[in-house]
Amino acid sequence: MSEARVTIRTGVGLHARPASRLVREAAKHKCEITIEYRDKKAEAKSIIQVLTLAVKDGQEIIIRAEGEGEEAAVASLLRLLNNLGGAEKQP
Amino acid sequence: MRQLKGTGASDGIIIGPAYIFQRPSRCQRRTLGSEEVPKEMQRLQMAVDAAKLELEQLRNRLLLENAEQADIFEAHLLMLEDHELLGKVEQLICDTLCNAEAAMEIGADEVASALAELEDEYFKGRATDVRDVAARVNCVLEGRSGHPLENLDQPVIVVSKELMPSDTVRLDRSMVQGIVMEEGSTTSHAAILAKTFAIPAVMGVANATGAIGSGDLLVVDGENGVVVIQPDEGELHAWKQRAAESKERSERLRSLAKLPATTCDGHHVALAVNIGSPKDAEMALDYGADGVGLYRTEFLFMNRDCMPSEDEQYEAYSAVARMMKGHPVIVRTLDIGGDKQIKWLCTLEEQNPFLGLRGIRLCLEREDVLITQFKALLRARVQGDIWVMLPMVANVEEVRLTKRILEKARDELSREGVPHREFPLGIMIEVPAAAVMASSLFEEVDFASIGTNDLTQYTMAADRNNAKVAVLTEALQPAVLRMIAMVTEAGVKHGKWVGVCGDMAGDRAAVPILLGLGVNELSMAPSVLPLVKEAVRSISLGRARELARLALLCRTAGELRKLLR
Repeated sequence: MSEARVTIRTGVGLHARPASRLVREAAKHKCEITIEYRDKKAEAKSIIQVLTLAVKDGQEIIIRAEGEGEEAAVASLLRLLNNLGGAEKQP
Repeated sequence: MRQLKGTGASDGIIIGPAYIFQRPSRCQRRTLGSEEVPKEMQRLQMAVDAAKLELEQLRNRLLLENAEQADIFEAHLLMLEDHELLGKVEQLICDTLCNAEAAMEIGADEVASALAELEDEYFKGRATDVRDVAARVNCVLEGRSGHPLENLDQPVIVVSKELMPSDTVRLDRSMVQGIVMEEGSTTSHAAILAKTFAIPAVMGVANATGAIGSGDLLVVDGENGVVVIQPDEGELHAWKQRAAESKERSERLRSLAKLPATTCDGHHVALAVNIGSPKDAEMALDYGADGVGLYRTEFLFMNRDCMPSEDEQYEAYSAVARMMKGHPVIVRTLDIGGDKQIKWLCTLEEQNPFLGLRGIRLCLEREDVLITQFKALLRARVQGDIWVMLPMVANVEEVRLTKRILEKARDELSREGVPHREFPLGIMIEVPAAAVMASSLFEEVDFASIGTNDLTQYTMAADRNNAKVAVLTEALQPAVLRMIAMVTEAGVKHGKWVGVCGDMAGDRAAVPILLGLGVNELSMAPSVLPLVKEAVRSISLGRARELARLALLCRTAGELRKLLR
């Protein structure tokens, strides 16, 4: 399993637009990808589940991937969130 | 007369007949024979595919004209690809043997109610999107086409329980003069659309469709969130007058936005806005700004645990540059210290933070922070007309040291093979020493922008947050005016551009003097820009110069105030 923590900094949280981009990117990967926020969990390939997380700006989420190409999946989502204004947390 | 209260979502007052828009009632539920199930699944799939095609076309068309709306339909498209919704619907057909329409409705209700329970207004509002998507599929299933809001034959005020994106995208904007909705908030799709097209709107009006009859005469006051039903003659007269006034005011401001900031003898001065985030820039062009005169980058750095990455900064700076469509964007490098502190950049406790390690002084201590910011800015300059200025410069040495760091940033990017471009480099003039040394500083930089708030507090040696000494900082002081004159004089001598980005730039009374002193640009909060433009357009440069000359002769703040009145 591969995972990473990232703080959402899109200016608005995971609103429909950044969420859509996240879901589109997740759909490109074969492995299972989940997003955890507070005590909730969502499939990264489901726009409805991701929106139901209601992630606010400046909050941290955990991305977990399991299966084929899991590392590449996490890396690509991190890159996307960083470009949307998410910042990778320093170890 | 009855009056309903809601939340004003888009300014303006409009009077007109009500048009009650009602969504088709809930669909018929039918029980299938178990042998019909495979066929029903096929019907559902075909309708979903057709709806997806519609959404794709809508999204692609809107990408060019209204990116924000395009994003909505992109999300809708994803919902129709989401197993969370369709899985439920398919299961309902299999398990309860109900028809596809009913299954779609029930499934969407379930998903939507989970969203509707959220606390956050925005995410709560997405329940509408789920229902809208389901309604679109059902439209196809029931073979309905066309939309009542597309074919209105007279100007109306639309009254509805709720307007969904699929409604608003089809609404005839030449006929819809006002919007009244039972649900929704100021962030709903309908509210955003109303604001974009300046249609007065009131949201969250309880029982509007029950209290208002079709054809009732309505007054919609979008500023105060009031809806008046069937006003009597006296009231109608008063409202008509108010409507005319509000229309005149908004038209004046809107037409002003399109006019250049030119004095009546044809001299142009750039009017720009001060912003703190890419989001603020959206309003700038609507207000008729010629650019961004001060982009405060602190907000990118605050409330977090580490420095924003070069890429993150690059995204923010390029977003603003792209939004401003080729107009200049003046970015101020990190200005921390004084009353603004950042944990991760934690500076030592200082006895006198305003006289301590702040602005460029701090950045020269933390070269890594400045290099990263310069690299992001050099890259973003490829995306638009970015200028960069340094805060709190006190002497020539600081500028020279900074230029060396800029040099390093440039070299690193060249080595990495990353595309970048040179930007004009300027300084803020906030420290009296910099005003006095303006002429020497102009030999080092391309432009300067005067921060009048700090320049006043440092010139008068009076804390601007201390009410006991407010008398020294509130009014325009002759000493500060002379400081500004030193800078503009030096600017003229060296042929360098001088702007003003403090509160004084947005003060109508002070504008003629700044013009007269030869300032090239005034940068202010977006909301005061139309008023300043009016002030610029109503004076001649000759008169402004005369006023500036007289102002420089004033010995007290009182004399200055009298002159400006």
